[in-house]
Amino acid sequence: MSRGPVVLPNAKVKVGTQKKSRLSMRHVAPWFFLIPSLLILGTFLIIPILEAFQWSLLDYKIIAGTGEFVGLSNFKEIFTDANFWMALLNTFIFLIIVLPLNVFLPMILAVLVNQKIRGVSTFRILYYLPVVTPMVVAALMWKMLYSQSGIISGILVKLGLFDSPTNLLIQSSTALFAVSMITVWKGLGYYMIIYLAGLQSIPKDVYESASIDGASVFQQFRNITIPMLAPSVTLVSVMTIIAGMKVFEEIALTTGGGPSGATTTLVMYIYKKFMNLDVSIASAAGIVLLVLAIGASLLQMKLTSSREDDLRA
Amino acid sequence: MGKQINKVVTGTLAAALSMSLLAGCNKEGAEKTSTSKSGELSGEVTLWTASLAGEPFDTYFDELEKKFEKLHPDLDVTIEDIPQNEMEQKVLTSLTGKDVPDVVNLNPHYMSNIAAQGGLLDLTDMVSDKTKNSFVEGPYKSGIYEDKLYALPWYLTTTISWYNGDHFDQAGIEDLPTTIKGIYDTAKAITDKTGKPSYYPVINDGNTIMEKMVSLSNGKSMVKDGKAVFETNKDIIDYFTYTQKMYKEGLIPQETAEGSLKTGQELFMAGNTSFLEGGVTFLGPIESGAPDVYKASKAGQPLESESAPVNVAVMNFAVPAKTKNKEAAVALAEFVTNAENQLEFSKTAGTVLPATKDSLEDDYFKNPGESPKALGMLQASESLERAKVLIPPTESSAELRESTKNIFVKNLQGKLTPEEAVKQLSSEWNKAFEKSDEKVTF
Repeated sequence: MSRGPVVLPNAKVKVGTQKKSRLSMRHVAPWFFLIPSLLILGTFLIIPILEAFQWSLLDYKIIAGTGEFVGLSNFKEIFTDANFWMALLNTFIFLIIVLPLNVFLPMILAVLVNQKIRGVSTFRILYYLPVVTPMVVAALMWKMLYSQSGIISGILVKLGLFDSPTNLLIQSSTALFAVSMITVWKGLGYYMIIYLAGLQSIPKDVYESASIDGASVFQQFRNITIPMLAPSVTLVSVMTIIAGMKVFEEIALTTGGGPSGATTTLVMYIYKKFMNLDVSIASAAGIVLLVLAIGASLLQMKLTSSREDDLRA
Repeated sequence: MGKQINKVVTGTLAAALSMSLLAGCNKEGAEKTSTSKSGELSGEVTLWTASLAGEPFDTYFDELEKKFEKLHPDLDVTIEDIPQNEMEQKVLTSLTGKDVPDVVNLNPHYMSNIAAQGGLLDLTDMVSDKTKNSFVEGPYKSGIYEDKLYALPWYLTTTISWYNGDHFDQAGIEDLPTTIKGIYDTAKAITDKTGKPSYYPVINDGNTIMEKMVSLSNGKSMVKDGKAVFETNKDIIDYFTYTQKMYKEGLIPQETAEGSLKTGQELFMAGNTSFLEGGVTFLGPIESGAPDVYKASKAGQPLESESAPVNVAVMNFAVPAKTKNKEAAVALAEFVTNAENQLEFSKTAGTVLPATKDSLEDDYFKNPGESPKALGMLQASESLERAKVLIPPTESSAELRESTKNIFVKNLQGKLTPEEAVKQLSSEWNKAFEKSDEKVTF
């Protein structure tokens, strides 16, 4: 004769209550930890975004604090403004220049400073120095380097790239490239550290096995290092895209958006409009930038994650 | 239960965010009205100056503050200096918040931008006719926007020319050029001797080019009822043609495209450029930074016909509409800009002119001495006789300046022909006036 389990009349209720109580605590507690972040995020991110969206739909007079509802006409105005398209194109070109350099140069540096050789810590510090150099100092230094009588101009003449000393920041055709080099230089050390952390998480025995199997250093880099660094590549790419879309300081300090708007990026365009008290236009352009930044980051993450899966397969 | 709590927490957070948003949207705030007891001024009043910190200005403003407080014992005056390059941001931030200064030092173009949004107090009926008549006409008009007085003129700088006497001697040139062709010939002769670019046209944010265009037009209108009419103006096309030619031939330094007077100062100080136009303040850093160049520096009249109008750059004092103490603010603005205090300020600064008629009669401006700076002051006070605010404050001024700078640089670098550049500029100005619906003439 088989006997079923003895169930006390109130046992179910008791167990249920305990389970519910534990679940509740588990659900509520995280919110308390999140409150400070949510408040900060709300105050400095969500509210400004909502306010910018609100302003973009008004003909807003920021000093008077009032504005008439004008629907999407601010968006229409920026989309018919040649300067806006030029700023958008400049932002895109800036990203095209900076993205591959920011992804690959720090990776190579990280591989180099990941070696067990004497004095490597000094190199790590040296490469990190630009990161902690204030942008104002960096901009002044690069302005001197780029000046007509500066070292870069001299080198370009010696290489035969220019007939006479040329300030790259002053020429419309080279100014954006010249500014983007400052961005690359400034971010080199920071991204190198990200890659360095990624490299140090790769098990050494993978390289040892590859070495025993006769793989060359280049083959190890191509088939082990790059695939294993895929998460770092994603991180660096996304960070570069977001930073590139909101590039401002180096441009404001070196060219001010010139010559003839050749280095006016989207943020510079927004800044100029805002300072001219065209806050509704600035807000509309800001919303466009936000949408583009979210879109580009999502696309980049999707593309990179599928590439990571391929590489791991 | 858990779901309910989640909903409560989410709802509370959403409500908190909405409340903050609503609070953030409320721009009115709690404003205190101005206070005056039985006609006597009382309370607190704050005045902002632009980049006038350190000696000798600290002593000057301390004395000024004491004198005003002695006149109005119930008033507490605070004078605060804001760096020039932060002024616009700081003014904008304060005007959109509650902590506004009562009197603020602005340039006419930014003043008109703020006035257009109702940010400044209309002083038309608050200032006496005696005060209004005490100012030189041109600078006084720079405080007027849409027929209302929004600011009182304080100190001025007029455009003069500065040149390196040694370089001119080397090239055997005795007289300053007065035409654009003359500028080209002079620049070529000096560059041939020194081997360095010699002429630096200051662009700034585009305003100096706009002013130069008006000077060169010499009486011919540039804009009539909000329509640009300079498209076929030969003098302006010549100006664009010769500057492009000079840039191409290396007579103008590449750095000109950056536009700033500061860069021109650095090049002049290093002996890498020989002549340019600017205010008397130009020589300040050169006196301490390059004494030899300072000694060789000479001042002259602007590089155009002697009958052409010259621009006067004005720094003025405006009163934000949100001031909590209107009467005291206006009284302070009038006090700081009266003839006696303006004269004293000009002597303290040593490189600016006062905006009051009486102050300019002082011997200090008639016989300033023999130093390069003093001779510059003499030239500036002479050019003041034909000086005007050449570009009136308009709502479109930011767009006009930006398009002028961009198109002038494109022309300079040969991206457009001079004719194309002038045509494009004319079209950009028309677009700006059309947008703001302004029927200005200048």
